[in-house]
Amino acid sequence: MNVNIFTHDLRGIWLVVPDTLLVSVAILALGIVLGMILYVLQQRNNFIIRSICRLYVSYFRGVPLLIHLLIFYYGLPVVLQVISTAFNLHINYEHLNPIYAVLLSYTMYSSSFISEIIRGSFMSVGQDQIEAATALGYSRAQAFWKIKLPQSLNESVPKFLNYYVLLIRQLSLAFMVSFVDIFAKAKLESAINYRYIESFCAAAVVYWILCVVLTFIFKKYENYLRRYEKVVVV
Amino acid sequence: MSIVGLFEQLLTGVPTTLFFILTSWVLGFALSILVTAGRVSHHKWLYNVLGVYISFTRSIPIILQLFLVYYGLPALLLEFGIDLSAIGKMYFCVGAYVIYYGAYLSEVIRPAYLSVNETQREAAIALGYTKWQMQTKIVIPQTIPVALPALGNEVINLVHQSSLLFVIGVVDLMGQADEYISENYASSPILVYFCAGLIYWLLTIIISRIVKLAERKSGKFLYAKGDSQ
Repeated sequence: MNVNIFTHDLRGIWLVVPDTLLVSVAILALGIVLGMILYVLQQRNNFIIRSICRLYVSYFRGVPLLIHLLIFYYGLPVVLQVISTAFNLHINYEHLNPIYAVLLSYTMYSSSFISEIIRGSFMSVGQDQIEAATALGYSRAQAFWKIKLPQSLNESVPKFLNYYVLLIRQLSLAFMVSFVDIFAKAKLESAINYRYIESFCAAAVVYWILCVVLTFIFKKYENYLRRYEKVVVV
Repeated sequence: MSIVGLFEQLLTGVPTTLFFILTSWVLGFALSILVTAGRVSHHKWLYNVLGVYISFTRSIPIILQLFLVYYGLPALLLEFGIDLSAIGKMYFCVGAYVIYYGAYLSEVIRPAYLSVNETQREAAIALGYTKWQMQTKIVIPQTIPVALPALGNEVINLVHQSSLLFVIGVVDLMGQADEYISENYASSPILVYFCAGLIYWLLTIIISRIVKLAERKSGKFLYAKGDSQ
């Protein structure tokens, strides 16, 4: 264990942290949008739409993320080639940045989990709340925006933040498609001088600090969100 | 190259995957019980030491832990004169995953264990149960149904995360897919990975069915809601 190499690796890895965090934010945001769409479609009474949604969720939850990533990595250029030739778009599909495959596969994978979070958080607001709102003369839109949404957000935002911390860790798989995040950077650093222990320990330290700090902040925020909830004394 | 040949090759990797899942699940579960026992014991230092272990393991992606164990551990031990080069890859893989799941599962089991109401324990003692009887007859049967759904999710997680093993050269299901692609230049990686994905999908569905069944079976241990108040 060489301390100099360790600190050098640590500095190198620290440089990719903002990118990792940013890409994770993008995936989370896109995943929430897609998860919301999925949730709305699942609430429809149309049998075909519902079965398609169920198949989608089952597929994305049933197959490892790594396989999704590789399929999108190899599949995206093929799809773009077809689109490009069909519409004469001149897309440069041969030298595609791997980040598109990462974004697309992670977003679709996350959306299947996020739609469940959204469903659960909406269900956590009891029907009696809506009845009370109706009795007070709220319109349906008002009942949704003023009663249902704020309460379900209190429920879902902590879960989204938890998912964000998970995403940072899951992004480590993206080294397979040569996307550089914390883990991939550690791998690159170790490839220069074959000092595996130092660079992997440095990556572990970075992950540890990130997760502990983020979890601490998110926990504080969750307590802040739940400040109006009744404290049950047992 | 045919789709049947592809599936035949992929299926030869399934026993390795299943064997790996079973061993690391059983050992990881055993470790997590020990960790939970340490966490709920009255020793403050044990609680804190295990807390550091859990925090570290849960903060770090499994792939990094695999690399730490596979590349880091032998290099570290070599400095102390211990040579690990003769040990097979599979041992490192199982070791890394057991450490990982020991922490993860204990965070599932501990809340479930603590969810059993204190009054239950008091009642058991009042009825003259020994400590061992109290645990095996009262506390653990009530812990199982609470912990099962999350434990089932973790099994599925393990199935999915076992697909990472091919990165260090284990020839499991994913490793067979990788091998097939490098042997058959004409093959489409999309199709091969998709077929491997289908097998993983099938495994996931079967396992979640089994977990559902176990949940229904263990539900009878559960106290009717509202009784404990």
